[in-house]
This record gives sequence, structure tokens and C-alpha cells, in this order.
Amino acid sequence: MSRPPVQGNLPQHINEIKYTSPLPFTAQHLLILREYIADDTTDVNAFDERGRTLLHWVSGPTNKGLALATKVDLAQRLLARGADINFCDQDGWTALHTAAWGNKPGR
Amino acid sequence: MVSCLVAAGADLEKRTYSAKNSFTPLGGALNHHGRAIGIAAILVGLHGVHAGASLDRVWGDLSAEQRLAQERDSPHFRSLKELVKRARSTRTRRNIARLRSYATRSRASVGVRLLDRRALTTVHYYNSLFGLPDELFKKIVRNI
Repeated sequence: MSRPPVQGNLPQHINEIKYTSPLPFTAQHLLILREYIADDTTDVNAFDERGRTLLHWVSGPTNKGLALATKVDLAQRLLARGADINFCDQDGWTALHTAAWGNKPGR
Repeated sequence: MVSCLVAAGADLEKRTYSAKNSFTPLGGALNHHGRAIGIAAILVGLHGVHAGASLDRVWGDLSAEQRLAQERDSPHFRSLKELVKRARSTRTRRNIARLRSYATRSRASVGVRLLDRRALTTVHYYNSLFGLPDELFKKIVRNI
């Protein structure tokens, strides 16, 4: 019942940062992400090949190198830029599903 | 993170596409997969319940209570159970009051919809709690 595979439109360098996990997430990565989000020309609802947006990733448990406060900060920046909070990935997961799935203290 | 998303208006009733076990965020939070349910479940529970998230069919066809019953070993089991129980009883009282209001205005019928901020329940569904035939339930409701 899942959607057919999607053609992701998230820039490659952002996709690569996402998949550094579980490698250490550096300050440089964070800077790039913040610049990307702050850029007016950025599509904050761009998604990867699974249909997941940056908001999915920021909310989810896979970004092990990020502190909770940083994640919340990034999420708020994305939402302020107009990220769709109910955007579904190809399995129907929203950012809240990924956050709820974390199931670990502080997530 | 959960509180941030809920405060920003995340849909608490959105279900995943899985045909077998489609679930809501609350259902996802109550899912353990070998780990103890944690703070996220409490947060989704607290924020979700206050925001009117449905307690029914959170995981496949399982209600929050049924799903929680599978988590007895969790350190948060008691807190969550209490939370769900309180939310359920508040909603039941609210629904009975609403039902009574319909009945006094002779508007109660098996088709009356009981609006629960997000979840819409019908008297027909409500009656499933009592297990009476619809027509009999309708008569009783009219005489409340």
C-alpha cells in the first residue's frame, strides 16, 4: 500500500550530511544546514528518495549526533520557513511519527 | 521534539500507509520493538490527549489501552495507563453530557455525531460500548 518510489529533490550535499549518521555530526555540518534553511531560495519541503524531508530527519531518532535543543532549533527554523508539518513520506510517516517512534528519553 | 511538533499543529490522527498495521503517532510512540517505551510515549500521550488525539485504533485496530497492555514491563507503563484511563473517562463523560443534550432536544438518533475535536464518533459507535441493539439504545437515549 506504500507509494511508488519517489524521485527525491533534496540537494545532494544535504542528503550526504543526513547520512553521516551515526558518524559524528560536526559544527560544519550544522552550519551548512542552517545556511541551507535560511536561504530564501531553498525549498524546505524538498525530500529524499524515500519522500522524507529535512523535518522528518530532524525529528527522527536517526540523527544521533544532534542534541535535542539543536534539533528543536532546526525544526523551528524549518517550520518558520514554511515546512509542511504534515508532509508524508512514501510510507505515510509525518515528522510527528518519526519523533514519536524515537522512544528514547530526550527525543 | 514531540511537544514542539504538536504545538506547531502536527496532525495527531495521521495514519501511516501500511496495510497491516497502519498507526497514528500515539500508536508509534507506544510501540516498543524490544525497547521500553519512553519519554516520547509520555509526551505524545500528554500532548496528544490534550489536543484531542483519538485513543481508538492507534495501532492497526488496537486501541491505546490494548496496545499498552502489551507493554506491562515498561517503567512508564503506570503513568501511561493512568493518562489513557483519565482521558477515556473524561471523554466518556463529555459524550454522555452531549448525548443527554441531544436527547432533551429530541434530536438523539443513531446517526447523531458526537464531535470529539478531531475524532467523530456516532451514537452507533458509542452504543458499541453498551452492546445494545441500535433501536433499543435509541429509545433509551430518548428517555434519558
